[in-house]
Amino acid sequence: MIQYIIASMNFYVRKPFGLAQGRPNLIWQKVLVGAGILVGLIIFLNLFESPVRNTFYFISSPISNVFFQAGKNINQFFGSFLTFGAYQKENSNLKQENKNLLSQIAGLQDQIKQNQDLKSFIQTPSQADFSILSAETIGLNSANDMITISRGSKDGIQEGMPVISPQKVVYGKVTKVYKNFSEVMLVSNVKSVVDVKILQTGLEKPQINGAVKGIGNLGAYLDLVNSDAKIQEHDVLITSGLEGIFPADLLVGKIESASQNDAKAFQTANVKPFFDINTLDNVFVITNYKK
Amino acid sequence: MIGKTISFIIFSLVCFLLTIIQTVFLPFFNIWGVAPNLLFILFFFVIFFSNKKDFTATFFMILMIGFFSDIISQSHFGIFIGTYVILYFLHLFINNFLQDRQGKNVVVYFIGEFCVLFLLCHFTLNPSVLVHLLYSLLFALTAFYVCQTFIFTNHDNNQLKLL
Repeated sequence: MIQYIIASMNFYVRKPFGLAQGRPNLIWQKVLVGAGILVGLIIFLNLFESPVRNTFYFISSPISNVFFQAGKNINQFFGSFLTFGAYQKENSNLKQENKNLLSQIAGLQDQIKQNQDLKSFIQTPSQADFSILSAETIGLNSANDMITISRGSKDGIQEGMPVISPQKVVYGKVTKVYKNFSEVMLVSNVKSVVDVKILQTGLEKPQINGAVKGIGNLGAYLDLVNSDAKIQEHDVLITSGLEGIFPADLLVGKIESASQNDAKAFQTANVKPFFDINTLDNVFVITNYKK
Repeated sequence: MIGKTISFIIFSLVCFLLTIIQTVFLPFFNIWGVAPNLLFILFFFVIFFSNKKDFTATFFMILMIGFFSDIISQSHFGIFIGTYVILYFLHLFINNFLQDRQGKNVVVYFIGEFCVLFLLCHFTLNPSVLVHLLYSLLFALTAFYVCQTFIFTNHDNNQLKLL
């Protein structure tokens, strides 16, 4: 194979490679020098990974903003054209309102529960327990389920900080911080795991806990739910706050279809995450959440 | 020499622009969460239509595409640079068998090699990768016919001659 490759590279070979004719030494010299330069380049890039990426984001952010808005506008235009404009807008407003209401219900449920059972002192952090920092989305990598935001270490961003929407929908957490920018791993990323509980409407119902795991391509599933727990379609999943990264009662997603297998110790379900990449312009980073 | 330098700079800017389009524009038009991989399409065009005699230029272009792919991949630098270099050598190897069998069905070779290299580049074979492949192939074929019609009409240096 090497013989074919080197012959294809048009090095100075008069005879097929392997024969001691032509200038075989020159070939090997070139191959070794090329490989050395390549390895050196890769080492250099990895040594200065953070400044290189930060510079790229810095240079590209003005152009990215233009393309981001253009993509969003075109998508909305065709979206509304295909779904008869007004209906889609109305639907979008209803979704927004629904998320707000779900968020309020989540908060109220916990308050009622705390009032009824004073003995249980499981602390449920309220909005006042953390402060937020707004950031613009400047990059969206749907292939890796990552977004890039316009805040970095100089703004006090640190790895592991949760990122949410204005409606308290969880986007994910910060995984890499540069000077001016940060990369956020969405909950749909294959490496993402978020502890959740099912939003219960009745107070007497037992709490059902689980974990939402990403499957990539903006999808996720619910795992680690006890086999005897009753979960069903359209159940809303909110953060439990158990893992200490995300505050409790943030919206995560909705169960699309549940599957129970007696052979498995835990139930699983397909989850439709609440975050929407079409409304990703501004996000909030929770900067001082205390476990 | 100056002309070559200018073409390298222009190529770098094209890579930069495609990277931005791929990361912030195309995700809005995703199908099942996947958007076309423009940088891979560019890489494939570079190796498919490159002048075999100008190995240095081709190699530079591959490094540049790999560099930008690494930037948006959120992994360590070198993964895509290395992958693309290996795929280029594989292409050269495949080309030795195909160059004697070129004909009017160059599009078949184009599609076949594109699919093979795309799947090798993505390491895995699952439904989402196949959707990703088809979506990217749609863009690649459109670009292919545009190139065939407007750019490579009298190009003698194509790896597979467009007859």
